[in-house]
Amino acid sequence: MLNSTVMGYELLDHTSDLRVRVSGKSLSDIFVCAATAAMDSITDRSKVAPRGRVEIAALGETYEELLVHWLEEILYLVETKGMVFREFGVNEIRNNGVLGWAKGEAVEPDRHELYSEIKAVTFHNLKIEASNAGYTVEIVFDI
Amino acid sequence: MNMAKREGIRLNKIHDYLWEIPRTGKMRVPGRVYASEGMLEKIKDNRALEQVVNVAHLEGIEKYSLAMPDIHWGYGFPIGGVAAMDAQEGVISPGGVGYDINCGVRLMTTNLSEFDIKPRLKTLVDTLFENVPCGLGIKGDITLNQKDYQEIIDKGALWAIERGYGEEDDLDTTEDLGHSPGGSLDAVSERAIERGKASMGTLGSGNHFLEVGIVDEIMLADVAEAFGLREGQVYALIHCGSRGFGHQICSDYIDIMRSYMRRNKIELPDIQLACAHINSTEARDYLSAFAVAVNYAWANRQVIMEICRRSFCDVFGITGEELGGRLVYDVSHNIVKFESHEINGEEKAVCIHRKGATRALPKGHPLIPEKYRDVGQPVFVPGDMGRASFVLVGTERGLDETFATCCHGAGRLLSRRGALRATEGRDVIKEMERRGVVVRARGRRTAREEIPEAYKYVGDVCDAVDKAGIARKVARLKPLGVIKG
Repeated sequence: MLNSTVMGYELLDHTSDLRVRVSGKSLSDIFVCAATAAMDSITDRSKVAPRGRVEIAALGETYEELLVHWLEEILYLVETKGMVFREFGVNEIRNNGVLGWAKGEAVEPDRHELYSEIKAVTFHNLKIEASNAGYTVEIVFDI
Repeated sequence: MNMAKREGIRLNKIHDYLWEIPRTGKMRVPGRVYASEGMLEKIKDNRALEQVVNVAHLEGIEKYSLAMPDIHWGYGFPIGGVAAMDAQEGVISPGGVGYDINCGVRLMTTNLSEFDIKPRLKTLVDTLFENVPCGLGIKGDITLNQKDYQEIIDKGALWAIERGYGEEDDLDTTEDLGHSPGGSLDAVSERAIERGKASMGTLGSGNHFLEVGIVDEIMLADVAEAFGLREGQVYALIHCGSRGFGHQICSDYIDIMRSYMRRNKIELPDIQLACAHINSTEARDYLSAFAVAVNYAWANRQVIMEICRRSFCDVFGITGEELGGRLVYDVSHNIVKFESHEINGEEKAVCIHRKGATRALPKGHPLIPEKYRDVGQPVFVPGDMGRASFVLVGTERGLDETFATCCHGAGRLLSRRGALRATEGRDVIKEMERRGVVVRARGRRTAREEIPEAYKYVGDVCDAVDKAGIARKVARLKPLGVIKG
């Protein structure tokens, strides 16, 4: 689960919650990596079969809001629809909306060990930074 | 006065357990931190003081931005943060309540003793683990419909009692009699309603728990007697809140208030302090949704307590009357309240944010249940799952200095990652059993993340509030069994 360099996130210390730094070449990368980081804190993605695909849409007034709302949609599917996901993708990001998808399946307790429940995605210190190398953002999830 | 610098923030020592951060820059009031000098080192490490300073920027804040000894870094408000705002001119901030609206604790005592529980402890904990839904994605036994939601709005914990979960007497010792008025589903999003439908009567996960144990030591005999506590008595302590329902409401209103701040050009050092003026439509809507969540949480803890009572009766083969499962009190530690307090010699209406902080009213206060009015309001401070929890009582000094507020828990020392690293290769469940505590946890990492050494010792936190005089230690509780999500 920890420090997946391929997907571009690293876990940072936080006394009580989950804090990650996400990096990527594009904004889409950030959204995918952030979703992956969240999912990795919930379950072992390698045990999740990509049986079904769910389309995910979110709105927001800023890219930071879009990111938070995107993640909230995914967490809603986990908590309320009982789903877990293996992979994510983003089709389109505009300045007020994001369209993407997630592939996964319904939770099966015998196959999917569930680690943590994420209560919420916070805006704490959340600022998407752009540089020549790409984008980074820190996200704190309330556990 | 002694001065100490922590992370560039100056601290003036008021006394051994109280430190003041002087007003600087755009702070509207000073900060005040209740902690021993030793505790301040850890507080510095997790940047919580910066958050105490940030809260002091909020409009309408009265007296001080306060921090309890269990303070640690949250988002926006520190956990263990308290701020009272002018009820007319001030702002309200959902982050100052927390995502888990009305997360709180209730203590139930029984007629059983250590002698009764020890031979059947594992069976009891296993039975509670089976009967009390906990953990990610676990649904409760009740699915709420619109009518249920409306009744929860109208009745709070009474809704649960009318469905057979407990007795009306339980309301007498629930904060605010288990009901907060003013709620409306019009202020609640469809998403929140959907998230709350299947979560009623569930414990959640993370640091939520149901603990059983014995009253280990009595410190204030007269108060303990008034609370109905005696040494060796078996208790159950329940810690949970409003579940995804409350979390969604907080998220929704942080968004709404961020928009409000942009439109009204309000700037704050941390966006998570998103707020709106108390007399704004946005704030009124938040309070309306908040009231629904507060009632949801009271109903939730009421349901869980009754499941707990029934589990005890099944395991010990006794009736409810023989069990004598009595609610000592239920008190919130993530809440905003409109109260009247003396400020600069005058009674003033304020809106108090208590985030990871517990109301602690002194004796004589009219809001305390009549049977406790001669001694003061009970406060429960859960510790880690291995060592102790405490019962405290509110004091006059607390009313005077901290708007009648004290600590709520132990506060973490290790991050969750740190706890996982420290427990690599260890069987934490077996370790706890060797220590005499039976632990059952739904998530395999939960027990590791919640190991005792991940937390400050709650006794030190309670000592600090006791020595500062803002609450007094009444009894120490010893956990024997814990269930977690």
